[in-house]
Amino acid sequence: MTTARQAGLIACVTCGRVEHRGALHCARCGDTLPEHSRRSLQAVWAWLVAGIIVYIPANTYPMLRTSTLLDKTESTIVGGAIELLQYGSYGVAFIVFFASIVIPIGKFIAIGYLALSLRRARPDRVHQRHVLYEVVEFIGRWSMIDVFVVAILSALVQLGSVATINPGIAAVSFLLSVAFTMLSAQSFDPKLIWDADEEPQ
Amino acid sequence: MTEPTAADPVVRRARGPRFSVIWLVPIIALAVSLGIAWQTYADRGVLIEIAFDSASGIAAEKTELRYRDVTVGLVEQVRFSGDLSKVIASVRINRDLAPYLDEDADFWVVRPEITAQGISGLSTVLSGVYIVGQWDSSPGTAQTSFEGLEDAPLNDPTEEGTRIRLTARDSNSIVAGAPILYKGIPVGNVEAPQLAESRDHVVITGFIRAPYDSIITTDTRFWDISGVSVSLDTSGVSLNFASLASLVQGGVSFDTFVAGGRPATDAETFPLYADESAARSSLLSDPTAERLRVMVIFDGAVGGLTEGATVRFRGVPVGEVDNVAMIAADRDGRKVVRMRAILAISPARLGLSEDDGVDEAMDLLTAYVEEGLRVRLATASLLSSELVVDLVELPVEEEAEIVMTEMGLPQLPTIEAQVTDLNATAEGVFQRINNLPVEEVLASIQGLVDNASALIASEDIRAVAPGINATLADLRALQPEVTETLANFRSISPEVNATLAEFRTIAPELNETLDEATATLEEVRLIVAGLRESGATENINNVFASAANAADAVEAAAGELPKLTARLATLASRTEKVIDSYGDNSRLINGALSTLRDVSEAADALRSLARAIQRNPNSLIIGR
Repeated sequence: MTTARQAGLIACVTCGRVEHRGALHCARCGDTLPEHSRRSLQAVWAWLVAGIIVYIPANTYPMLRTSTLLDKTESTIVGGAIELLQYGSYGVAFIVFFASIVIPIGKFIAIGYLALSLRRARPDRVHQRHVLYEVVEFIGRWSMIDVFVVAILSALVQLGSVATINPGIAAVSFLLSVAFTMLSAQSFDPKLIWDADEEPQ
Repeated sequence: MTEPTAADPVVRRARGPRFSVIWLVPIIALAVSLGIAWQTYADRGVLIEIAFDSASGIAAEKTELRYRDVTVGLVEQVRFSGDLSKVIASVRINRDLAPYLDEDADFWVVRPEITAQGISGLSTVLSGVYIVGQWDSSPGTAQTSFEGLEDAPLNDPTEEGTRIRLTARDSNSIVAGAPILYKGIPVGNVEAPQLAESRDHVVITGFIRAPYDSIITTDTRFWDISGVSVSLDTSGVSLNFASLASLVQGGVSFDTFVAGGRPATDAETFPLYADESAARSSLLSDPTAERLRVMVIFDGAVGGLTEGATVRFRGVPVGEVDNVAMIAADRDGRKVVRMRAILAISPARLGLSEDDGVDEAMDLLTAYVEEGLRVRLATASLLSSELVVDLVELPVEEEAEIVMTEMGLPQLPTIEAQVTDLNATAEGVFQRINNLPVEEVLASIQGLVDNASALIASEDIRAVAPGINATLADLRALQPEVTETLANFRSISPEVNATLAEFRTIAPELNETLDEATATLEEVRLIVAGLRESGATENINNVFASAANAADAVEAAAGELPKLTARLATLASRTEKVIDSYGDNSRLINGALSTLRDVSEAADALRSLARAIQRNPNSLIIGR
C-alpha cells in the first residue's frame, strides 16, 4: 500500500484537497498546509520550553494566599500538598500532588521523549509511542484541576477579614505552564511518528 | 478506478525564518519569569538581627515587625547568641526602610499589659506578640544588628516635644511612666527617677509632647501630685488626689502661673515642688537665683521649726529655713544649748530687682535691723504647731546689729518668740476650762440620774404601767363608741329640743292638775268639816251623795292621774335617755337632769297618791 507521503502528496486539513508536497497553501481554501518536516517540531519544542520555564515559578511562588483573622499563610503547590498530608487528607493530597507535580512533569518528559525519538533514523515501538502521545493529549487538560481548585476557592472564600483566599503568582504560572504544554502536545503531529518509517527515498 | 491525481501544485518557495516565531513564546516566558524572580529578589528585605533577653512569644515566619502599626517585616529565624545569653531574632525588613535603621532605632516586643494607666496590647492576645520598631525619620548609618528593649520606651523619639529634668528631694512615689498633667490633661510622661551624681537628690526626666511643651517657660512650676494629700487648715479640711493613675504610680503636674519667662530649652532643669501650694508660693522666687543666707540663734523652744519653713517679712514669704541645728554655746560662763537656724532669703522677694544680688539684700537687711528689724518665731496657724520665722519691725528698745559669725554667715538679732504669748493665752483658756465646776455638775447630774433610775425601778411605777396599758386599751376600745355616741348625739339633739319644748307645754297643764287636786282636797276637807260640825242625819245622805260625787270626781281625777303619770314617766324616761346620750358634763344637761328628777319625783308622788286614793278612797274623808 502506498501512503500519501510515499506518493509525495499532502492533504489540506481544512478542506481535504490533496496537494503536492512542497505546496505552502491550499489552492482551494488558501489555508496553510501542514508542514511535515522537522521544522514543525520547533513549535513543539518552543511551547515545551515555555511550559517548563513558567513551571518553575509555579512551584516556587505561593499558589494560595490564605488570610484569616489571626493568621496569614502562603502555600506553594508542594507545600499545600504536604500540609494536606499532615492534616491527614491523604486522598486530596495525592490528587493535588498527582495533578500538579506528576502529570506536568510526566508530560514534559513524555513530549520531550516523543520529540527526541523522531531524530532516530529507525525508530522502534511506533505504536507504543503513539499511545503515549494519545495519553499525553488526553491527560494534559486534567492538570488544570489545580487551577480550578484555586479559582473556586478564591471565588468562594471572600469573607472579608474573617477568611480570604487569593490566588498567588504561581496560579497564573501554573495555568500558563499547563496551557503551554497542551499547545506543545497539540503542535506535535503524531504523523511524524509514523513518517520516520516511511521517508520517501 | 483511476489513481487519484493531485491537483497542480501551487509551489511557492518556502521562505521564512529558519527559526519559527513560536520561539518568542518561551523567550517571553523566560523574560517574564526572570523579571519576577529579580523583582522578588530586589523586593526582598534586609535581614536585621535584634537581640532580646527572652523570645517571649516570638515565632519564626509568624511574628511581624511593625512600624507605626504597619507591618514592615517578618521574623525569619529565632536563634541564640553565641554564649546563649540572648535570643536573636532575624527579621526581614522592608528594603526602603533599611536606611533609617541607625543607632536610634529601638525594638521591643508588644505583649498584653495591664497597668494603672490602662490595658495595652490587648490585640496581641489573639494575634500573638509582635515586635515594634521605632526610629526617627532621618536616614543615618544603617545597622543590621540591634539590641531589643525589654519594655516599650515611654516616649517616642519621633514625637515632637520638650524634654525636662526635674530635681526633687526624693522620688516620692513617682515611678517610670507616671503622667505629667497640665490642668488634668496628660501631656507627657516621666521616666524612672535617677539618683543625681551628688546623691543628695533625684533627677526625673520627663517628656512633654507638643503642642503642650510651648506652655513651659523658665517660670513654670512643677509639683508632685502623687498619692493623696489631706490638709487641715483655717479653711477646713481638704482632700486632694489628681487621678487614680497618679494615686498608684504618682504623677507630676505643672503650670505657668506668671507670664514673662523665656521658653524652656530642651532638657531644662526645674525643681519639683511637694504640692501645688508650695509651687505657688515659690512663684516669685527663682530657685536658681542666689539667695542670701543668714543665721539666727533662738533661745526658746523651736520644736515646730522645720527645714523648709517659711521666712516672712511683713507677712509675705521671702525665703525659707535652710537648716536647723543645735549648737552648744557659752553664755555667762556656762554651756547652753541653743538653736541655730539658717535662713535663705530671696533678694527678689525683698523687692530688689533681678540685677541686685545678695550684697544689696544684705545692705537692705542691715538698714532694716538698725531701724528695729528683729527675727522672731511665730506659729504658722492656730491649728498647727508649725513655726514660721517672722522678720518683724519693732520700736527700737535696744540697739542691735548684724554680726558676722565664724561660719561666715551674718547673724540677725532675735527677740523672744511670740509663740510663748500664744501658749500663755492658751494656757489661760485651759485654766478657765479647768476651773469650771465640772465635778459638781457631774455629781448633781449623777444624783439626778440615780433618782430617776430609782423612781423608774420602784414597784409603784411598775404597777402603774399595766394599769396605764389597760386604760389605754380601754380608751382605744372606747374610741369607736365615743365616735358613735357623738354621732348619736348629733342625731338626737333636735329630738331633745322637741322634748324640752313638749315638756314646756306640759308644765302648765301639770300645774293645773295639781291645783285641781289641791282644790278637790280642800273641798273634801270643807265637806268633812261641815259634816263633823252639822251632825245632821238629814244632810248625811246629801253629804254622802255629794261625797260620793266628790269621790267620783276624785276618782275620775285619780283615773286621769295614772295616765298623766304614765305620760310623765315616758317623758322622763325619754328625757333620761336623751340626757344619757348627752353625757354628764354640761350644765344644761345637769339642770335638765335635776328638773327631770324633780318631775320624776312629782310623778312618783302623784302615782303613790293616786294609788293610795284608789286603794283607800275614804282616806280622803278620814284625813289619813
